[in-house]
Amino acid sequence: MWHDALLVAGKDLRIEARSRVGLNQVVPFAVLVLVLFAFALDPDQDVLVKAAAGLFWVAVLLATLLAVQRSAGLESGDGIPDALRLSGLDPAGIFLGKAAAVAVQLVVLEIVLGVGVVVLYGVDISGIGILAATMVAATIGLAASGTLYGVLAGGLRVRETLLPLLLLPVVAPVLIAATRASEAALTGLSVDVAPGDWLGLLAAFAAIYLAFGVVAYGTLLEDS
Amino acid sequence: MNYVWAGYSVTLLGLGAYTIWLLRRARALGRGGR
Amino acid sequence: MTAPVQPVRTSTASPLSFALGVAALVSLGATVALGLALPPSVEQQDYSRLVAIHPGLAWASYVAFGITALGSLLWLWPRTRHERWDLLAGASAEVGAVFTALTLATGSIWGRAVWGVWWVWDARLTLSALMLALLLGYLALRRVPGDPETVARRSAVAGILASLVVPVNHFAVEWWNTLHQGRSALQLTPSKSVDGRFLFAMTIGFLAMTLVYAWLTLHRVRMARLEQGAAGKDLDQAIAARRAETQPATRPATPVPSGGVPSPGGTTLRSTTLGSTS
Repeated sequence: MWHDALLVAGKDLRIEARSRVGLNQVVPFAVLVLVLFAFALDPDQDVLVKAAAGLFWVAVLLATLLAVQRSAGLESGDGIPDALRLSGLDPAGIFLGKAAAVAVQLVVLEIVLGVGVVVLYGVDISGIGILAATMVAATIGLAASGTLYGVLAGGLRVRETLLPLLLLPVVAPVLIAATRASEAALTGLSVDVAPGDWLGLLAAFAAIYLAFGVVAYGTLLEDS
Repeated sequence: MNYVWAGYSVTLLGLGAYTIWLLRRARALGRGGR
Repeated sequence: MTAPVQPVRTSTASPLSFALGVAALVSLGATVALGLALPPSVEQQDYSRLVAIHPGLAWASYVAFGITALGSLLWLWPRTRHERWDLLAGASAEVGAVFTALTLATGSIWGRAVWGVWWVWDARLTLSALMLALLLGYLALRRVPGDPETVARRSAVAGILASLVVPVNHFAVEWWNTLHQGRSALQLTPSKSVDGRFLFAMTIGFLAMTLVYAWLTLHRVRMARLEQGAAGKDLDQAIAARRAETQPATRPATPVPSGGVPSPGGTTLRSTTLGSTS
């Protein structure tokens, strides 16, 4: 399973390294979203600093939709699902590999967006440890749930419109928890929140969807 | 009191509308239409 | 609401569902009568009369969500796999969407009456809103056409996936709400110092909404069966019509292909029949 996961993750990341779709399209899109938020809100920096954590994670969520669609699109061409089934790879390994590839891309994206938030919104990052932990937990959850919904909607003609409707309500708790957990670290404001609870919620979300994916990905691959 | 009436009306109208839709469609299907 | 008891002789009616419909209607009538007769309470004046319907609707929407998850699980489990579980999950989700929407509507009306605003980011209302979004997504996915087996499989997985997030959602909105409004916010359901009459009306409301849910879901499942049959019949007629067009008039009337292949699924019928003719 782990070997297969490494193979699939390596394949997806190599495709990304050669095509650079994520780097050339998704990352600029996410930065653009940050800029648009600044246009929509008052350029008054206080508002942006206060809302920075939420805006950051909304931008991540929107970019996740694109990354997931791209990841699922790689496997939905003519005959590719059949080839994937015939390859003899462990479905759980395929799931973990694809989720890992999405997670790696999301982490890169989050680092870029983090720099963007510091530069554009004038935010001082105070708690780098909590921020890193939040990013890891939230990213795993987003990648796992996104990969599942990606393959669920992947073969459908209406996937571009259906995927956001399916995925966004599911990742809503990730948005809430990640925003709250990173609020103190990102905005430097003193919030009397226990980020540990929120981190626990993020970890639970990630664990639930990882476990479900490991068990059920084979069923989804059967005929999507 | 108006809000109480509104709450009860919305509930009964909503359930009633869905029920009527369900029965009308079921009858049409039962007759062999669609 | 007189519709349920009308003795409509379609295939979705049966003595059992008739009795269930009568019970649902009677208890719903009792809920309305009891609820409207409730005395005004100190904190909420007469708006507390909404306690007879709103918690019941919310309860029924949770039940519907649970039944959808259960139906999906039973379909996915190989030993209990049967078409009926898929139909039950779909029917329950649709009826559940109606109940969730009504929960939001009555909660909003109640909030407007008591708090003066149409929407408060109350934990339970927020959870219901997210559940409505999940149900609408699930129903949209179900409506995507495809081979019946494939549709059932992907719907079942989506049903489980959507239900997995509900507990996480619950904690998320609960903590989030607690942070922002504190426990002092007036709860929609009067949990403390509930008068006996309120409790009784609320209980009858729970019962009534559960019965209405059961009746609607039962009929929705039967209607889904009729829909399947109608889809197959339409296809048979269309195929017979095409054949009549293409064949020379000298030959006798062609046999309807459904006589030979008793296939319930429309799509499989299409593929086999067209494949053999063309």
